[in-house]
Amino acid sequence: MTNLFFEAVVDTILPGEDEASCAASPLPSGSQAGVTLEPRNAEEDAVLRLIAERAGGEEAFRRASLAAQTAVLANVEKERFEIFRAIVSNLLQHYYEAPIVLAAMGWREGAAQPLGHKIPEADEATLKRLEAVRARGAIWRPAS
Amino acid sequence: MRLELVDIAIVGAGFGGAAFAWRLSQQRPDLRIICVERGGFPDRSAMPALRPDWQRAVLNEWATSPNLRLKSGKKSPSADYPIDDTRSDFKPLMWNGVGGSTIAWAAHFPRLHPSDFRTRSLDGVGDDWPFTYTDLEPYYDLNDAECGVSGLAGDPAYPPKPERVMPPVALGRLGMAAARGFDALGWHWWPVDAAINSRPHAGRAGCNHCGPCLTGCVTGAKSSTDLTYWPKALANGVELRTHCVVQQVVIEAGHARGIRYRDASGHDVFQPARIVVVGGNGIGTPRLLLASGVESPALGKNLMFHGAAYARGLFAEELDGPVGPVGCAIYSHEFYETDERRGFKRGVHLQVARENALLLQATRLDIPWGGPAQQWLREEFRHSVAVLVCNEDLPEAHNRVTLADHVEADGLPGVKLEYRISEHTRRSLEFGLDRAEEMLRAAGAHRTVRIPLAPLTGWHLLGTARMGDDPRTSVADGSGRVHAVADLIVADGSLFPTVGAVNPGSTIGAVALKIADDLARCLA
Ligand SMILES: Cc1cc2nc3c(=O)[nH]c(=O)nc-3n(C[C@H](O)[C@H](O)[C@H](O)COP(=O)(O)OP(=O)(O)OC[C@H]3O[C@@H](n4cnc5c(N)ncnc54)[C@H](O)[C@@H]3O)c2cc1C
Ligand code: SF4
Repeated sequence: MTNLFFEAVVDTILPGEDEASCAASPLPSGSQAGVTLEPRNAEEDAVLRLIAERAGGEEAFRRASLAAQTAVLANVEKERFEIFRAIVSNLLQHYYEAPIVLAAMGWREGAAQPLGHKIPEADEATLKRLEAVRARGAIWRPAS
Repeated sequence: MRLELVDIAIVGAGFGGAAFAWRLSQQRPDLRIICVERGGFPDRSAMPALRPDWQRAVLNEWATSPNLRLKSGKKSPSADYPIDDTRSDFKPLMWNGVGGSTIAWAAHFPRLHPSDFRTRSLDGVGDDWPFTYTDLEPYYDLNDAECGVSGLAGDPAYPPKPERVMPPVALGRLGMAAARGFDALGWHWWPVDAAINSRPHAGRAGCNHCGPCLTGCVTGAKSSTDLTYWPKALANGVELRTHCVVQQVVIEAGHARGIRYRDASGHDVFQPARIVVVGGNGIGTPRLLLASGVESPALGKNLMFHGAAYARGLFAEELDGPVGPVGCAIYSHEFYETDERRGFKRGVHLQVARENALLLQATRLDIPWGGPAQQWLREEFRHSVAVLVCNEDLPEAHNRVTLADHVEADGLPGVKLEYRISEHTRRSLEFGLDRAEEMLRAAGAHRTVRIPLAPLTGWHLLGTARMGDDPRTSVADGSGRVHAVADLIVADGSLFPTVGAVNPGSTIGAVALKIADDLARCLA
C-alpha cells in the first residue's frame, strides 16, 4: 500500500474544515496536521487492504469524492468495527494533540502542568441568588 | 516463608484501608499493624499532565478502566488484574496502588443523606444500614478534616455540616451558567464539597485547574490517601508493604489466622495476624474472600455502581473549556428524596461536570471520525455544559461478582461481573435526564443531547460484602466483622447495603474510621 493511499484514508477520517467554513482558523486535515498512518499489526493491515479493495483499488479510493470515500469507510467500519475504530483512535490521538489543531480550536498547546488554567470564581449576582436557595430552607428528609 | 505474628494485617492501601490504618494506629499505638498492597506509590513527577501528549494517557496507561489499561499494552503504574465485564452494563473503573482509586478519582465529596441509611423503613426498598447518619456524622466530620474539604456550609439539602476549611472550588463560567438555569426554575443548587484544595492547605498546593484529575494530580491539590492518611499512618508506625498481592486469607477453625501473599520478588509469604482487615474494593474484596473459601450467601452479590447518564447543553456563549477539577462545580439535590408521583422510589443527583479534554471528547462521540464529528466538536468545544445524572442503584442479588475457573497472572482466580441495569434505574435516569435538559435549556442552551447510558461510568464498586444483622442476607455486621469468620473484618466500599445517589468516597472513609474505632474499643 502506498503513502498516498494512507494519506487519503487519513484525510477521510479527519477531513478538517475548508477555508469557506465560518471558523476563524479552520481545522487542518489530518495530513496537513502531520498525521501519518501505518498499519501497526496484521489486522490493521488487513482492514486497510479491505478499504482499497472495496473502493476498487488504492488509486480509485484516492480519486473518489470525500462522500464516496466516507461511504467506503463506513461500510468497512460495519464489517470490522473494532479494528477500524482502533485505527481511528490512533489517528485521533495524534491529531487532537497536534499544536496546529489545538491552535485552530483556540486552545493552548503543551503540557497541562505546571501552568494550569485560570477559571473565574462565582460573581456577586450568582452568590446573591445562592442566598435565595439557602433561604428556601431545608429539603432533606429526616430519618433516624 | 513464614513471618512473625502481627496484630493487624490490612489488605489494600486504598481509601478504606488507609483511613482504617491511620485511625487504628492513632487509637492503639501499641498494636503492630501492617498493610499489604498490590501496587506501589504513585510517582507525581511521571504523571501525564507534565507531558505535551498528556491527553492520550487517559486512553492508554492511565485509562480509568483496568481492562483498557491492560489492553493498551503500555506499562501502567497501576497493578491491574483483568476483570471479565462482558456481562456487565457498566464497566468497572479503579486504580490499584497506594491510594487505591483515589489516585484516579475526581474527589467530588458528597455525603449520603440521612434517608439513604433508612430506605427500607422509609420507602420499602433496599435495606436499612445497621447505623444511622447521626451515628456516622462524627466520622464524616473527622474524614472531612483529614482529607481537606473545599465547599460552603449551609447547604439546605443536608443537615448542617461544619464550616468547610477552604472556600468552594472556583465555579467557572460553566458553573455560573448552570446556576442560572437552576435558579430560573427555582431548583436547589449548591457548590459541591470537593476533597480538593481550593487554596494551599495541610502542606499541599492549591488546585491550579489544570484539568486532567483522572490521570493523577501532579500538584497534590486533589486529596488522595497516599497524601493524606498514609503519611500519618506510616508516622504512627504502620508498615506498608507494596507490590505484594494477597492470595488468600488463611482461615482455620472459623478464625482468620493471617494472610498469604506473593511479594515483589515472587516469593510466597505467610503473614500470621490476630486480625485480618480487607479493603480491596467492591471487586477485589469479594474476589479475595471467595478465593479464600469464605462462605457467606451474600458474598459477591448485590453489586451496585450508581446508574449514570449524561445530558449535554450547547451554548452560544464561550465557557471555560477543558479545565479542572473535572467533577467539581455545582450540583442539585432538588430531586434527591422520594416523590411517589415520579413513578419510582428514591431519587437522582444532578452534577454539573466540566468539559473533557478535546481528544477524549472526540473519542467519546458515537461516530468519532469524518466531517460531522469535527463539526460537532467545533460547536461543542468551550461551549458546552455536561450534567451527570446519577440515580440510587438498588441492591439485587443477581448483580454480582463471581470467580472464573482459571487463575490469573497475579495468582488469584479470575473474576467476572454480572450486572444488568434495572427498570428502576432506567426510569430514574430518564426522569433525571429530562430534568437536566430542562435546566440546560433554562440556562440558555440552544441545543441539548443525552447519553442515556454511559458504560464507562463504573466508578463506584459497592455492596458485594454488605453490612447487616442477618448472616443469611449480609456478609458483615455494622462494625465490618464478617459473620462467617471470626477475626476477619471488611473496611471498604463493598460494605454498603445501599448506595444513595451520590459518590461514595466520603462515606467509605467515614465508615472505615468508625470500624477502626469499633475495633479499638473491642480490643481495649
Ligand atoms: C475514575 C474514578 C473517578 C472517581 N471519582 C469519584 C469521586 O469524584 N467521588 C467519589 O466519592 N468517588 C469517586 N470514585 C470512587 C472512589 O475512588 C472509590 O469508591 C474509593 O476509592 C473506593 O475505596 P475502597 O477502599 O473501596 O477501594 P480502593 O480505593 O479502590 O482501594 C482498594 C485497594 O486494594 C488493593 N488490592 C485489591 N486486591 C488486593 C490484593 N489481593 N492484594 C493486595 N492489594 C489489593 C488495590 O490495589 C487498591 O489499592 C472514583 C473512582 C474512579 C476510578
Ligand atoms: S485540576 Fe486541580 S485537582 Fe485536578 S489534577 Fe489539576 S491541580 Fe489537581
